[in-house]
Amino acid sequence: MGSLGRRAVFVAADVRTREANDLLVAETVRRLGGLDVFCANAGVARWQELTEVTREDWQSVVGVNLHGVVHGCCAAAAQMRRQGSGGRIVITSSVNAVMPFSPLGVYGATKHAVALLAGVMAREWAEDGIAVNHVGPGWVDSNINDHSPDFATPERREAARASIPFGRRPAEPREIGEAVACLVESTYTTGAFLRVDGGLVIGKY
Amino acid sequence: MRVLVVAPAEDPVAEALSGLGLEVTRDGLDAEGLVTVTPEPELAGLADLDPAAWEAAIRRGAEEPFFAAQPWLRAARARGSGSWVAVTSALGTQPYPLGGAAGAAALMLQTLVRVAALEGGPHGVRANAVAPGWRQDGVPGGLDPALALADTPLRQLATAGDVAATVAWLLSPAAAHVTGEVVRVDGGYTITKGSRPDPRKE
Repeated sequence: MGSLGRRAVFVAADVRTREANDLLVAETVRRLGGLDVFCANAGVARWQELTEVTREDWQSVVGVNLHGVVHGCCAAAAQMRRQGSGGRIVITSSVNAVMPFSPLGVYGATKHAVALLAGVMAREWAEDGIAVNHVGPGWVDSNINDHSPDFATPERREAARASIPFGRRPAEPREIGEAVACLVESTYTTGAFLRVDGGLVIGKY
Repeated sequence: MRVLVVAPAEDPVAEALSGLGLEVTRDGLDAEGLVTVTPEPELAGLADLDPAAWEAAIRRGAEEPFFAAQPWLRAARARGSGSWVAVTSALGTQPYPLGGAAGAAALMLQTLVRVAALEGGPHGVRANAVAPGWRQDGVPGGLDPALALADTPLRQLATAGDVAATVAWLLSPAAAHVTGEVVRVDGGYTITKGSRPDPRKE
């Protein structure tokens, strides 16, 4: 990013706690001078039927996908409120935010919850000038899917490709980033869901 | 019909179920029905909510009911029949200011119910949710009951009996082909404008 003429810092954080998110925001502000945009993107998935979910599975998925998003957004919004000039928050949800999938029950529950919370935050924080939106990827070719049974064999990957109407291919991570940038640039969009899934779930929910 | 009920002590919905001819048991994985009742929601702004209170709301409204249901789900699946009804909250059906924590927990459980319907269906197991609006016996602290009433088209708040009657229907053979459904029992609360920025004021 430096070679593109941008200033970038990397701060490692365990997003599951509010303290870590507060430190992440504070360190960003210290090194870059302020916070205008916050993207809550961290997520984990476990493929299992509900009857097999352990407390450890639950805490892992809910800790990152739900608590991590809420603590991060609250930490960021507190900083934006201190700055007094509003801000933009974009959450990475999923097509799982609008329809249930098996065997991804707990993951889907966290993504549905995050979608609802984007709406609650958008309403509660509108008077602070903070816009909150979320993007919903379908299949992105990233390591979150390493353990997905849908991509376990070449035949299944081919079937997954065939299920995506637009382009018959997974998204590149860059394409999700472009959707985030669209939402950040919008001056009048809040509480919105931008599905970026190549049409994967059109008409299915 | 025998129904395993997992609910806060002296919960009025659980009590109302007994009056509807259901045999309520507090333990018994072999019961044909399962009813989980989550505690009445508490209202709080997300910015004001401390992390421990947030996490407790998710535990209370989603994690505990789910893990209470799980052994019953396994037993029902092995048996080849059963019906789970989760009593959640209408806060999970729309984004309401101050309803973030309770709404997120409610929607998590509603989603888990729908996935339980997907996964249990081939094994004869149904799963549905009921989403009550404000209840006469459970208007959260800080919320003016007159405002709750004004936002409810039927102009009355739900009784425990209203909720229990829907639960009993979902459990019964009359609903044999209903699964993965979320039934709002809210007097129309969630189809009204629902646009008060803060239901405690105005």
